[in-house]
Amino acid sequence: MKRSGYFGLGFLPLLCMGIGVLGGEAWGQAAYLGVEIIEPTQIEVGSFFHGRDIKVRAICPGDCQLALRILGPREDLTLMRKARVGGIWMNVEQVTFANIPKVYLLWTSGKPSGDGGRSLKELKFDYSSVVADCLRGQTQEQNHFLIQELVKLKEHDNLYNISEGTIRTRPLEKGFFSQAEALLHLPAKIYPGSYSLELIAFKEGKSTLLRSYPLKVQLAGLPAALSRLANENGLLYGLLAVGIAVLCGLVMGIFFSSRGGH
Amino acid sequence: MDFFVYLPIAVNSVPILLLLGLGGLVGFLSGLFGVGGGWLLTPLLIMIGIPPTVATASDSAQIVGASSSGTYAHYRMGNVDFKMGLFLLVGGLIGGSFGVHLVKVLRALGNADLVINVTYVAMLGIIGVYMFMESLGNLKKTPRVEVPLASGQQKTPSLYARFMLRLPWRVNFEKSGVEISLLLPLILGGFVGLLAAIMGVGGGFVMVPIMVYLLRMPMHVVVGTSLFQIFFTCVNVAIQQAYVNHTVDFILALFLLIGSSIFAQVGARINKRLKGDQIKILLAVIILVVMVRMLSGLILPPSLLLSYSGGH
Repeated sequence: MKRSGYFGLGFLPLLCMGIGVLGGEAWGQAAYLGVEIIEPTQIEVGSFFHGRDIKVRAICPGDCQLALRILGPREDLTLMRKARVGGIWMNVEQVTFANIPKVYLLWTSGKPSGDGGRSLKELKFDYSSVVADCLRGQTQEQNHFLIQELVKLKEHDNLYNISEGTIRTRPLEKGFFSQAEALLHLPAKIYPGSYSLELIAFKEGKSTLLRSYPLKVQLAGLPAALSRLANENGLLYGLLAVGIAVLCGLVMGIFFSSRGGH
Repeated sequence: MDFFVYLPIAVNSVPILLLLGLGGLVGFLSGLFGVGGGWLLTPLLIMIGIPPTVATASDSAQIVGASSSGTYAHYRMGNVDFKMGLFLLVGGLIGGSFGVHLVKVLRALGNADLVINVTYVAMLGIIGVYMFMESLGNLKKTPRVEVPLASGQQKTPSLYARFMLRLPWRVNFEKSGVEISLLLPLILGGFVGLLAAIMGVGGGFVMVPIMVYLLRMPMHVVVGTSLFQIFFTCVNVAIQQAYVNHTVDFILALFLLIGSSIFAQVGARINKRLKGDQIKILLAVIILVVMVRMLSGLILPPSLLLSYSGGH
């Protein structure tokens, strides 16, 4: 979907404020800034879905770096904590993380973590800033440990990720502006739901949100039908699954003249 | 180029060839060794990132398909003891239903995965070691010569045989040629049904030794009757898992079924070229390798100390 000329009246003051905060020279040229292309804005999870690339092209102030961020809906997530009991690793307690995003994916044009992560923290791009205050009733040490483990789990599922230096930029108009291009990869494990794609300019430890765009992920086709049936009418789903499995087994058996195993 | 299929209940995307390959591997072993392979498939699915509860439930659906053709073929050959199968089935249905609800309670407590893994390790360990030792012994020993009993001398029945004789409600199972208490198939069927629900297996690798060693049934009837019982037990487990826990991923089961049906034929052909004890030793080694892999998962520190409760 093309978003050429995405410069509504509501967008201008916001953009001007943002550029003002950053002190950019592009202040007077704000009308040229924003996203030119987001393709697609609606992701359909069909039978052969294996993640999806989103193409983004945007114009940003020439003296700023750019970040693109996809944030999933916030939720309270209950996880099981493993510990060693009697020599065996097992789940020992439930831990609830309050109001954390299901998905946190960040792409930047520069490398803010190059100074040991200080800039990431100042810009509030780091994981700790995103999941701040999600735990109650624990010591600071325990909180730190559990948040680290939460991030490890989410990174393992590719649902949290920070990719620095992956947005390509090239100068435009005597360096007042840059054109940024990026291919944002959504992981296969992404949950259906409503997400936001944020366009953020940053410079010298300060950031400003230029604009947020909605992004929808939804099941489609056979996965949607099966998921709906499995959750809304489990008995019918079970009967159909068994019926089709029996039919397939018999057809395969006849086809290969099989006596089957057990 | 990899082609992926999206599994809506597992909320994951897996290469189609990998699913067909896993189904094929299990089908190949099924054809080679004459067991269902659910005991091997569930841990393999867990290893590729399918939540354990979805892996076990979807296995049951796959076994329904895999065992349906076999049951029908044995029924046509007259190799099914329906009376025995019925009692085993009633026990299996009760045990299976109890197992499904047990999984639900364990999921709420967050211990379902641990119970599944520990049950696996224990069952695979016991069966693997027993089969390995028995086959190794058979390969080493010289053929035994039966010494005829002197006239008037009677063979003393074993402790187990005396226990069986004391049990009430004895029934004659003509097809199997045994007369035993109906409590035995009910209890043993219940045990296998419970295992099927918790472990997502048809129970063939437990049911066959039970029928041969505990119910004293002839081998040709054992295979058909075991299939009959396993088929119906897994139908019940699959439907209940879908209804109660919503954990049956039909797409997953279907691709596994296609792979297993095709490669079972290859395994069956190789089976004819190997000796019985060679086959059993190979199977025992595979079982023990899987057991060690799962045991190490319980003992060695995991890479992730947080996990989703009850799958995704």
